[in-house]
Amino acid sequence: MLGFILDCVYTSFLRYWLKWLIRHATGTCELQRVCSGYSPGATRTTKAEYALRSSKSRVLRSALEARKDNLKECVGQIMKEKDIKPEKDPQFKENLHTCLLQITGYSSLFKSVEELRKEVFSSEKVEHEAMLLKLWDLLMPTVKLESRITKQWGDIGFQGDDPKTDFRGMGMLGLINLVFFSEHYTEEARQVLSHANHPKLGYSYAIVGINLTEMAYSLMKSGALKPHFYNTALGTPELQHFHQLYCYLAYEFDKFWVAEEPESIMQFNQYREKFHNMVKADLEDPGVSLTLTVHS
Amino acid sequence: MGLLSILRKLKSTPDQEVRILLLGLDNGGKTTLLKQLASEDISHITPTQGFNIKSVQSQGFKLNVWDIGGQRKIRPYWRNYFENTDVLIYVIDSADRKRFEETGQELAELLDEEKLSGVPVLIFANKQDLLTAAPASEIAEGLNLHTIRDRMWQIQSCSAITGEGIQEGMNWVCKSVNSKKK
Repeated sequence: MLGFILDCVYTSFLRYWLKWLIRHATGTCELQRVCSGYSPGATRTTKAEYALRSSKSRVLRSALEARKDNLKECVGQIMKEKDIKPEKDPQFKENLHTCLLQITGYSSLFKSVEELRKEVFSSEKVEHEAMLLKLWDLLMPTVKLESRITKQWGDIGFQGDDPKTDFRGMGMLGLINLVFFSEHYTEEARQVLSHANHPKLGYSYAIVGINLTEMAYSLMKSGALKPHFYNTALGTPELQHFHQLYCYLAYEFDKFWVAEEPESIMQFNQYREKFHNMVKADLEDPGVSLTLTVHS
Repeated sequence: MGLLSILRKLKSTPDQEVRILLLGLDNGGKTTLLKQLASEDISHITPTQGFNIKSVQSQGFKLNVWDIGGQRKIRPYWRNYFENTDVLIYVIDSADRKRFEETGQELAELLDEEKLSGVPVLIFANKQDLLTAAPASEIAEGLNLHTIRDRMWQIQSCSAITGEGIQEGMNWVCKSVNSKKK
């Protein structure tokens, strides 16, 4: 409670007062200090985001919602508003622009992710069907699929004889992630699949993958992935960065599962929660970078 | 969800825990139903690996609902959850006619289980929001429900997505719990 009151006092009153003082003592504003005081990455971008969000000036706040091609203009307006002279602080313009690319890029990436999630897998769509068959070929190069509706789908961890009912709330996002992992990390994906097909320690490869897509999606939605993307995408994060993060989760979850040796698949949600908490703890570190590194 | 009114009805016997087992084939809608009961968001559901459990608590009542994955591979684990079940809820995808036979077989096997003997069973004829859904009466006939003599049973058409029919089904669940305790 006391902490809460102090926090309120700080953000509503003390913070402005302190900023005013430092500004007059050093001749630089908060944004300038952030942009020059930290190297590119999560710490700098997070601090810049905070400074912009809590600013009293509408010019600064609206920059957070600006479109990508308007960002240069926004930086110009901010410099005018804050009376920042390019001659005195030559790096500022570019640094703030980079921060803004990352900040606004996160929201636009989430929009693209959401669009894919809402796209329902449809057997009428040729490209959806092609992608599903591609997943099979990538994972099972030596086995031919006997027909489109077959129990064989169980071999790569779908539930029934037609995978289309398994995508559910994750839609095409789930399938695209599965294909991306198999395509860009073919060997790793097959290795994970072989662990998943272990008679005792196994799990259902595809539906656990769809479940991990849900994990990636909800981490993205809550904003928890910001530090990760601020550190790994030094500009606007793109869809492939999201798919890369999925690859990390799929690979790391498998390692975790194998190491934990759960009693049976019925314990899945319990271990998923444990893994989820580990990932969330990693994301608390400003230096976080959840990238798949393969040990050869 | 009108779960509150159900709970109010149960109020006559406070501190009562009710164990409800939710079974059925994969893609039947068990998890959606569970989340509807708990008033949670149903838009991000993925296939259930293992099981989900939710307790809905209010006014000293506790409904412990166990939602067990329906995938063929994990159906052998269903029996691990039979013990002390008060009511079995069996969920059917009314639009998936191709699997009516399979779902009927699974249900018949459940009703033969010793640990579930006498346990009231509610069959949810789910997905009635789909145009292709078979009506509850047709499903009841297909499953030969009228031959069940050793327990209370009920079939209820519903849509876990829209929430329609769930309240009626849960009313029956509570009624059957109460009459069993008497």
